[in-house]
Amino acid sequence: MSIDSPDKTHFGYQQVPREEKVRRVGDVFDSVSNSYDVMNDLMSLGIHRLWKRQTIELSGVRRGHTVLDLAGGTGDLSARFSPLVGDEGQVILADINASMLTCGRDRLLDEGVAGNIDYVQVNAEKLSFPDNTFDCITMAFGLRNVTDQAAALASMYRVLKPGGRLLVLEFSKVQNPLLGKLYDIYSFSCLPVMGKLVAGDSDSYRYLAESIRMHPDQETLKKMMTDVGFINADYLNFNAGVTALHRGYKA
Amino acid sequence: MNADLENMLVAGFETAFNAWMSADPDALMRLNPLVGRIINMYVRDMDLTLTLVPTDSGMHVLRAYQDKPDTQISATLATFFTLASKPSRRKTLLASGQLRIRGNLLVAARFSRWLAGHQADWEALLAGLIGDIAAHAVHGRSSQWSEWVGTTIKALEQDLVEYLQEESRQLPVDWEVEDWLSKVDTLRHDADRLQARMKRLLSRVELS
Repeated sequence: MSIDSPDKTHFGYQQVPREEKVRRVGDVFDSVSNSYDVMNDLMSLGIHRLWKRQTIELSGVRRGHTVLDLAGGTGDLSARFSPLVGDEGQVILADINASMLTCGRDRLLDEGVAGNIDYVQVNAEKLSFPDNTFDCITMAFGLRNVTDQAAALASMYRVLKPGGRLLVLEFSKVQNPLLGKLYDIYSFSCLPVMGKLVAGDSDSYRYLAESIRMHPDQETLKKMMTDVGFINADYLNFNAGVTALHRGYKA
Repeated sequence: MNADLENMLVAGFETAFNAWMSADPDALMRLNPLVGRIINMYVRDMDLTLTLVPTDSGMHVLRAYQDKPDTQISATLATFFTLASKPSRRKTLLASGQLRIRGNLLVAARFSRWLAGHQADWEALLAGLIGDIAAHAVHGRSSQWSEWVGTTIKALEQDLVEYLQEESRQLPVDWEVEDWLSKVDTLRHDADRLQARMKRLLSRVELS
């Protein structure tokens, strides 16, 4: 759970100046971008694909929709949205990190996913899109890296069309205490070792484990969403709360 | 069914479907006219809806799609298997109501043709895993084996029919059935004619 002051915020378990978090999160993703997909599969044993499938299922995206895949990274969600919205629709793959965005663009082009996808480097706290632009916004495993999460949620609310929906897929608080202990051991012992072996970077994966613990739990995030104006906000726990999918609508 | 389990099964189905597709080198190219279309498959006996989204790189499979699909194909699981293995039976299945199609019929017909045109090159697929020479040997053996199994099943079928019809006389032979059906038809016509004549006679009696 985050306890931020006006000048400082958390970077994992450390308190750092706000500007420094942006830079350090950028360094983390510059470092892991090339091995991001492999590490995701390895760390979650491929289960992240099921979580993302569920996100697509609950997005309600259909032909002609305009979708913003925020913190879209290597484009897992965009690749699935693109055929759903068709030629009449548009998908925008957005990320604050240029390395991740480049990886995503190259991957999607290699897979032949093109035509209705645009790529934008953007800060989630200050989205540079007109009001009421998108039918759906998704953010998978990105919100916990944002410095000012309330500002990001407010910005997403602004660019959503009335009736549009936001889906936030993020690591969350494990609901089963025993599973929580095992998850802690896995996160703090295994993840850094895996990171060292596969991506050659254990610090980034230690940050991953710490940032998950500092991220708001299910109820807190739901309240943050309703505070900025989202209605009918709810969430769905996956794997006993290892991840949660939050959903809210713009009135 | 539990939503997580269903999600996992659908993901498994998508992986298996794309693996099956990749066995035919031309499958993706032939899929091209269907890209951008949404095909809904409703498995009646399982009350399961699957949405197929053809793409340039394969087939995406979803459980739900919150809009009208281009076409909906509805059948039981067994009928879907029959359709996939014997596409020539499509018209019979449609006529009997076992297979129902709603929406854009052209998309359904294209999808059906795409399924029917699937020709797996298992040897090429295997060669990628175990090498050309081994794959050729394995494929040759398996082809011989499947040919032998096919011939054996056909011979067994013929022997069984011959035994039941000619030796044990438990089943009639074709000409006996046709002869019997022809006699039934003659009898029915005679009965119809008699009924018509009786009606005419009765009407004359009533008039007089």
